[in-house]
Amino acid sequence: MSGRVLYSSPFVPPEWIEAHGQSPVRVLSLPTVAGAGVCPIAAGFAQAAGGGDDTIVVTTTCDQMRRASETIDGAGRVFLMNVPALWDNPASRQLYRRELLRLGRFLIGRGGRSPDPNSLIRTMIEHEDRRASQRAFLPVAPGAARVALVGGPLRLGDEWIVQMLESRGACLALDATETGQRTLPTPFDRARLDVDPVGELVRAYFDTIPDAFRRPLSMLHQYLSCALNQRGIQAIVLIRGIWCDLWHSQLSWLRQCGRPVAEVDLGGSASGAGCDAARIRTRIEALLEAIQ
Amino acid sequence: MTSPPARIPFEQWDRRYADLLAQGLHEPPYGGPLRRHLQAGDDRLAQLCYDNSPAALRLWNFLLTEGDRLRQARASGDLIVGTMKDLGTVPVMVYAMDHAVAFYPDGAWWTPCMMHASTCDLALAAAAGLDESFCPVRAMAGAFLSGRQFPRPDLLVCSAGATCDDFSAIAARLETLGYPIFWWEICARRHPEAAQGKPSEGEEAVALPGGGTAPRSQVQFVAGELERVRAQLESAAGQTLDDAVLARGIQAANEIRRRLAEICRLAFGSKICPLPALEMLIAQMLAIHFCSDRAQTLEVLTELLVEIRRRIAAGQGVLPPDAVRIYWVNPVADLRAMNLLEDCGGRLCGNDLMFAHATDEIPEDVPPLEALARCALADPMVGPADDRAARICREARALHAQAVIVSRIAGASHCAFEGGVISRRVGADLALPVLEIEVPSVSDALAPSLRTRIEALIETARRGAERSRT
Repeated sequence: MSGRVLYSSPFVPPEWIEAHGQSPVRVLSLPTVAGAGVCPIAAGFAQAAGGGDDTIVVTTTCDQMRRASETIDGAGRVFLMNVPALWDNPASRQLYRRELLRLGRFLIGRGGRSPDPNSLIRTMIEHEDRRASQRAFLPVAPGAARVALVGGPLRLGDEWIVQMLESRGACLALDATETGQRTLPTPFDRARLDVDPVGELVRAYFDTIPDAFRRPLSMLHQYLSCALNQRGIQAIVLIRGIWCDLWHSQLSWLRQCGRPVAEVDLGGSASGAGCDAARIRTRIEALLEAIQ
Repeated sequence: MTSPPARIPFEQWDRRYADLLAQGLHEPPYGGPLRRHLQAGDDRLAQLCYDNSPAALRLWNFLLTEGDRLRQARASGDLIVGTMKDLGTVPVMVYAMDHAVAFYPDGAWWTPCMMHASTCDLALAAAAGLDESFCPVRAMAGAFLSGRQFPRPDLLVCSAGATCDDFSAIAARLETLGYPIFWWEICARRHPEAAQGKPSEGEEAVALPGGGTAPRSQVQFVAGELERVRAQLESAAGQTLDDAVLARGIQAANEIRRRLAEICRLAFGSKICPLPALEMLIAQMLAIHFCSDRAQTLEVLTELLVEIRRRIAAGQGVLPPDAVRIYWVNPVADLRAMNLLEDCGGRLCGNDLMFAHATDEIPEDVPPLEALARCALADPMVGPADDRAARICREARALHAQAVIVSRIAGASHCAFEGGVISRRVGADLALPVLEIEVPSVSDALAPSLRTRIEALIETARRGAERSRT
């Protein structure tokens, strides 16, 4: 066993994995050509994570990802973590906590060790310190159009979309994608950390990360309303994997936010190349023309 | 009324209906000629083939008058509960109460087929942001917005968690459009944890209807969620839904499930085919919410069962005796696909319509909410696709299937990966030919291609059977 634990969902706390003596690696999907109806993000993750003997943690936050986990070779090294959808239900919250503990047992079975509270707390603080820099918003050049990226995860190589925005005189003032600031857990409460570190993981991750799979949607919508206003966002790019209904269904709500919205879907072809890229570029350019 | 069993096209039903009346046909209040449903807008009826029995006529009339029953319930002041996604569990709770009906708005997914895409509520769904990239169940949103299909429910209850993303997204969109939803969580079913060196530390496995297992902790979790649903129903209905009332509701549901199981046993297992695939599909659909009338559901199924027994006793089927036995996976968005299977020389010998848990008997020897939790966790869609595939293999083997068709639903998140899992398992365990097809709501444009593929499958299965014999 490699000791590496591959995951992609922001609801998997890397500090929990590390405290079990394993190395957490957040894997971005590989751009991949997927069949009709198949989410390229899910297929890309299965491709990126497959092979080898790494431990793989998949969550139930996305139906296609849940089902893609069954296609990864290597029974016994894939852990499907139930991340409940209801954020305002105490029983769901308890379930998330139990799933963290179950994940811990799984990691021990894969060669990890049971964390003592002190090392868990220390690891949590280290991760929290590292995240601090990610919370800071990027500086905005005077006069630059302030754009938000909202939606699912970006894949490996999709950074060209941000570079393209910047090359057209816009700036990324809010990254509310799954791989951006939206999914950072809230800072740990150091006082509570000593009392119940696992409970603090639950609070930081389960209680605060907004997402399109969570029910009711008011948590996500409150976050977006607040963030879009705070950051003075002028235009929104909704970015999603093709076939992603969870994010696609947010388009109407985003359009009601009083800002122009361009929806781009990440299809099956390689990032930054081919007709997918041309399509995305055209849409974003049209969006920027509308506000500049 | 004892004409030989046959599949007849729609236009022959007028004559058949007149004959039946002349022979003294007695119908329930929702009875009448099929043509009136066509005139009311169910255009697709004209292109379907039907079983010619009075029992089948009653089945269709019962199905196609559900909207009327819901409007009557509204007029009577009964509680109307829209139950969404769980397919079979919450309605058992609702029907245990007095003056309460449950229905699945999800069922609107057939309106694009029945009323043709051009005349149904899909445009309203699209205007609400639910375009054609979504599963046909988006018609549900259009039905809410138009108010044409069913009255607005007094309460909406929807499961979330281990569900299809497309459905969950559509339901959540509905909520933002002003239709409050009571959500309850269904977790992804998993296998109980094995002990690591200490047998006493392994998770307790609980048997589920249909043969699977789940960890005790998951059963307790879902039972807790259904407890929340119970409190919500009690509050909405102003009634107590205690364990004794629930137990009676479960007994009544089980009576229907047993009746349906007998229908399936005879229809799928007999040498002759006593009932066409389309009527079997409709009959099975009744199990999930009793088509808004539990008592009538039992009567409709009983009449069908009597007809099936009569035909078997007489050795009269509706298909040639050499029809190839096909196990069908997933419901079809276009009902005509069921006719097509038989037109190609196939015969339905079993199916998994995504709601096996709504047809399995609910345990009566455990507390009612635990029994319903076991039922909800037995949902083939909340567990691993490989579990579903294993059950499909068990049934296909027992029913002597000669081939399997996995029918994908356009835009449905579960279809992206599960077809491959099921095909591989069927191929490995049964060595049967498997065909994956996608059936849109109106499949006319694809009919030649679908026909060719199904015919090729049937030909392959026939050759396989001949090789086995020689």
